[in-house]
Amino acid sequence: MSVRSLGPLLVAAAGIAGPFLVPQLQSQMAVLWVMVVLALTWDVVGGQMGYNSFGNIVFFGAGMYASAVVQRGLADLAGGMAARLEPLQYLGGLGLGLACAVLVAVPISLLLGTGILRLRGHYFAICTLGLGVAAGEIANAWDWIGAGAGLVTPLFPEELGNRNRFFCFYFLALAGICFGVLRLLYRRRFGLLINAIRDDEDKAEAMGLPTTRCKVVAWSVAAFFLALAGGAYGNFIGFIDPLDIAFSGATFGVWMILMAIMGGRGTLWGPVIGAMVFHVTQELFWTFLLGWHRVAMGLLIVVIVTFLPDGILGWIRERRGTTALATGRGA
Amino acid sequence: MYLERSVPRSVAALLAAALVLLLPALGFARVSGDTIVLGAAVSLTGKYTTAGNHTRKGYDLAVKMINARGGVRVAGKDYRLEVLYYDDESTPARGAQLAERLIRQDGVRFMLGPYSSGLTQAIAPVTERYQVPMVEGNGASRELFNKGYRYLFAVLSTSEQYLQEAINLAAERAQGEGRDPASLKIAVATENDPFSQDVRDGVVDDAARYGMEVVIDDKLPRELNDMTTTLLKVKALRPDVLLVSGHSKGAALLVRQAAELRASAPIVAISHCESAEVTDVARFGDAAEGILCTGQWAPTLSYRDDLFGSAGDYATLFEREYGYIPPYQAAESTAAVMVWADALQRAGSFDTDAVREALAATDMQTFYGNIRFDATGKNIAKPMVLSQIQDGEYRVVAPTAWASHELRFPRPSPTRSAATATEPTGPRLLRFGPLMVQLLLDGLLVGAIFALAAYGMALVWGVMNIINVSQGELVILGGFLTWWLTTFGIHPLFGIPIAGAVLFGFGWLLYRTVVYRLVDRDLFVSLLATFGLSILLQQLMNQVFGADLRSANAELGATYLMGDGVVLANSKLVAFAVALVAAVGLLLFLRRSRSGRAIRATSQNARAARLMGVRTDRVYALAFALNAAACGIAGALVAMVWVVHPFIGITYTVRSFVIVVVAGLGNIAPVVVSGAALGDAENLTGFLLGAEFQTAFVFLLLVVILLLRSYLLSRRRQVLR
Repeated sequence: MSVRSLGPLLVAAAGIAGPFLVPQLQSQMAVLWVMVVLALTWDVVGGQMGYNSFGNIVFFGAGMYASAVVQRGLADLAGGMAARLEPLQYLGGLGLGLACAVLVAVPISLLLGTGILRLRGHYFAICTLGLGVAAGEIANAWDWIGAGAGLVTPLFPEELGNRNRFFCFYFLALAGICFGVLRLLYRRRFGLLINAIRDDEDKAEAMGLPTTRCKVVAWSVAAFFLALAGGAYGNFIGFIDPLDIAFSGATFGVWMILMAIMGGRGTLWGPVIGAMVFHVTQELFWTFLLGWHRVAMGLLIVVIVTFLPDGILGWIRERRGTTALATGRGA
Repeated sequence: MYLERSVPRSVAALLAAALVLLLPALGFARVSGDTIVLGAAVSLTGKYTTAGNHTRKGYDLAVKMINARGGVRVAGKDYRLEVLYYDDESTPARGAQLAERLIRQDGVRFMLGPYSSGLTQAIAPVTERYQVPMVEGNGASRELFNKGYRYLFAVLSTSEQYLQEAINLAAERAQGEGRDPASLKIAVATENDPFSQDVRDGVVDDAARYGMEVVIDDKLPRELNDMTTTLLKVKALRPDVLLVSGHSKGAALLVRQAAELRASAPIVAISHCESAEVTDVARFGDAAEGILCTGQWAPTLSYRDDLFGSAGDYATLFEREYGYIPPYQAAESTAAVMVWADALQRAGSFDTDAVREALAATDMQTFYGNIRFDATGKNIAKPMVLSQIQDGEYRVVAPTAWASHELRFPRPSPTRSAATATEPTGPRLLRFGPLMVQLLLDGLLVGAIFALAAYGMALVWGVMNIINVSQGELVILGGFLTWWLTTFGIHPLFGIPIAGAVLFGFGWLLYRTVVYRLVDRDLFVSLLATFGLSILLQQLMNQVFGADLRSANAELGATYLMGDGVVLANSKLVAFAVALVAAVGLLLFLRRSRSGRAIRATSQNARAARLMGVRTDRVYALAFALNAAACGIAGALVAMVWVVHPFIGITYTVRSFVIVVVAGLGNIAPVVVSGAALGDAENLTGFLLGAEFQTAFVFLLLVVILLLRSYLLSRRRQVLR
C-alpha cells in the first residue's frame, strides 16, 4: 500500500469508528465533516484559484432551502408536516430534496459566476460578501419560504435508527467523495489551469487558456458539494433560520475561510486539517471558557492570521525547509 | 513527497489529541447523590444576552429559594436542585447542539427552556427525540404547539395573544363611542423573527375577525436601528391602532422616534417595555406616556403562592437580590423551575414517564399566575396583561378582571398628537409631498454619519492597503463611551470630542499591537485579522458595558417645517454639522499639516516616502488612529441619534464599504455625496418596498455597482487597445 493513500484511509477509519467508540460525540462529528466540506470547497476557488470568496454560503443556503421546500411539499402530500413519515418516504424525500438542491445551486453558481468572476481582487471579495448578505436578507423577507419565521424540516423516522449516526455517516461520505474528486481534479489539467489563474491571470489569458470557463466551473464544483451539504444540514438541525442557519455568513461563511487558511491555503490537506483543528478548538473554548469563548475565538483568529498566514501546513513546511510545493498565497 | 508523507501522521495525532481532550467532558448523571440536575442552554452572549440573563436569574432565584426551603422531596428523600448552564450564543444551531450535549454527554433528563421562541424551536425537536421533558418559560411561538410535541411544557401565554388584547380593547372603545369596529384602521410593525411574526399573525387574524383594515404591515429587520420610515407611514395614514413588537430594541426605538416625529395613534400598544426600560426618564423623558405595554406578568397582579408570597413580594425579593425590578422574562423562568419542583414531588420518582405524567397534570397557582397545561403543553390558565404607562408608572388596564386602573383614551401624548390634529385636506399627492421631503432630508442627514466612518475606512485602505472590518465595532465603542460619560452627567455634545480623543488613542494602541503586522500583507489577510478583532471587540464590549441598548439622549428637541409635515430631530441636524466639521477638519489636516503631507506621500509611494525620510511606521499609526477617531465621533453621533448595542457594528462596516467602493479612495466630496445617497436610498426602499427589503436592497446595490464598474472599466480597456 502506498504511503499516499494511507492518510485518507486513516481518517476514514477514524471517521467510521468514531461514532461507535464515542456515541456521545456523534453530532459534533457530523458537524466536523460538514466543516471539512465547507473548508475544502472554499479552497477550490479561494486557495487553488486565488479568488477570495465571502459568498460561498449562498450555495449552502440555497441548497438547504431547495431541499427543505421539496421535502415539505412531499410531506404535505403524505399527510401533513406533523405526520410521522415512513423510512422510505423520508429517504425518498431527502434524496429528491438533495437532487433539487444541486439543480438549484449549480445553475445559480453558473449564472452568478459568469458575472461576478470577472471582478478581481478585493472587488470580488466584497461583491461576494454583498451577495451572501443579500441572499440571506431576501430569504428573510420572502414569505413563500417562511420569511423570518424559518422552516421546519420533516421529523426523522425512528425506524431508521440513530439520527445523528445517520447524518454523521452521510456527511463523512460527502467529505470523502469531495476530497476524492478534488484530489482527482487537482492532479489533472484543471488543477494546473486554476493554479495558473491564481499565479497570473493575465498571462494565462494571453496564453489562450479558457480562464473564464475555468473559473466558472471551479465555482460550480464548490456549489455542487455545498448544496449537498446544505441540503442535508437542514434535516440534521431540524429547523432552518434564514440568517442564523441557512445563510449564516458570520459563522459558517467566515469559518470556512478561516479553516482553509488555518490549515494551509491551496493545499489538499490544509482545509481538512484546518477544519479539524478549528472545530475541536472551538468546542474546547466553548466548554471551558463559558462567556469568554468568543473573546478567545477572536483572539485566536487574529493570532492565526498574523502569525501563521500560510497555515499549519505552511508552518510545517517552513520548519522542514521544503519549499518545493506551490504555496497558497493569492494576490 | 516529503510533505504528503508527514500529513497522515499529523492528522492521526490531531485526532488522538482531540479525543483525549474531549473525553473528560463525558459522563455525568442526571441525579447524583442528593442533587437533581436541570439542564439549560441560555443566551449569555449574542443578541439575546439581556433577556438571557433575566432568564438565568429567574432560574437561579427559584433554585435558591427552593433549596433554602429544604429542596425537593422525591420518594421520601430531599434533593437539592442545580442548573447546568451552557451559552447558546443566541443562535438556534448552537442551541440544538447544546441540548444534544446536555442530554447525551451530561446525562441531563430534566430540561429548562432557553430564551426566545427561535431557540426553543431549535431545541424542542432534540428534547422530543430523546424523550426528555422540558419546561420552558420563554418560547411563546405557536409553531411550538402544533407539532404534537409530548415533552414540551410552556408556562407562558403563546405569542399570538401578545397584542390581541389591544385589538379587543380598541373594538370595545369603538363600540362604546357608537362606531363600528370594522371602521378602525390598524398599523402593525413587527420584527422579522419567529416570535414577532407570530405576534403579527395573531393581530392580523383578530383584525380580520372584526373586519378591521390593516393599513401598515411592516416587517422590521433584525439589525433594527431606525423606524423612521414606518413611523412616517403612520403619520401619513393615521391608523387608529398602532402595534409594535420587536423585542427591547423595537420598544426603545418606537418610544423615542414616535415622540420625535410626533407619530401617534389613539391606541399604541407594544411588547417588551420593561426590558427596554421605556419609563426611564433619563433616557426617554416622558415619551412613553400613554403607551400600552403587553406583558406575561406584572408585579402589581394579585396572584400568590407559598414560596414567594404575592407577585409584589417576588418583585421585592428579586430586586434585593439583583438590584432591579424583575421583568416578566425573569418571573416566567422562576415559574418554570417551580413547575419542575412541583411535578417531581408529585411524581415521586425520576422515571421519565411518571415525571411527564406529573407535568401534564400540573394545576397550581404561583405568584406568576395559574398554570395548567392543555394537550399541546401550553399554559391555558393565564391571560396576557396590558398595562398603560400613566404618569410614568405601569398600571394594569386590561383584561378587566385584573385591571387596577382605568384606560386613558385616546392616548394622551406628551407632544401635539397627530391623532388629535385635523385630517389634512387636498389631493393625495400634496399629502405625500412633505413626506418625500422628510424622507430625503432625513436620509441626507443620516448619510453624513455613515460618510464619516466611511472616510476613515478610505483613509486606512488608501494609505495602508488594509480593509478594516472592525470599523463598525469602533463606531459602537465610541457610542458606548458617550453613553458612559452621560452617566457621569457629561452632555453628549461634550462626549463627542472625548470619544474621538479616546478612540484616537485606542486606534494607536491597536496599530502598535496588531495592525502593524498586517501592513504589506495580502489584503485578504487584513480582512480576516480585522474580522477577528471585530468579534473580540464585540464580546469585550458585551462584558464591559453589557448587552443592553444604550443611547445618549441629548434632549435637543426637533425642528418642524411645513406645519407638522417635516420633522427634523435636532440631534440629527447637530450630527450632520459635526460630521461635516470633522470631515473638513480631517481634510485640512491631510492637506495642510506636515503629518498630513507625510500620510499622503506614503499613500502615493511608501518606499519613496521612506527614502525621503518619512517614518512610515508612524504615518501608518497616525492614519489608523485618525480612522479610529473618525469612527469614535461617528459612534457618539449614532448614540445621540439612535441606539448602540455590542452586536450591531456590522451594519456600519458594510455601509462604509458600500460608500467607499462607490466613491473610490481619495477625495472626501464623493464620500459625502455617496453617504447621503445611501441614506436616501435606504429610506426610500424602506418606505416603498417595506422595511424587510431595506438591507437586501443595499447589498444588491453594492453587487450591481461593482459589476457596472467592472463593465465600464473593461470597455475602457477595449477602447485603449
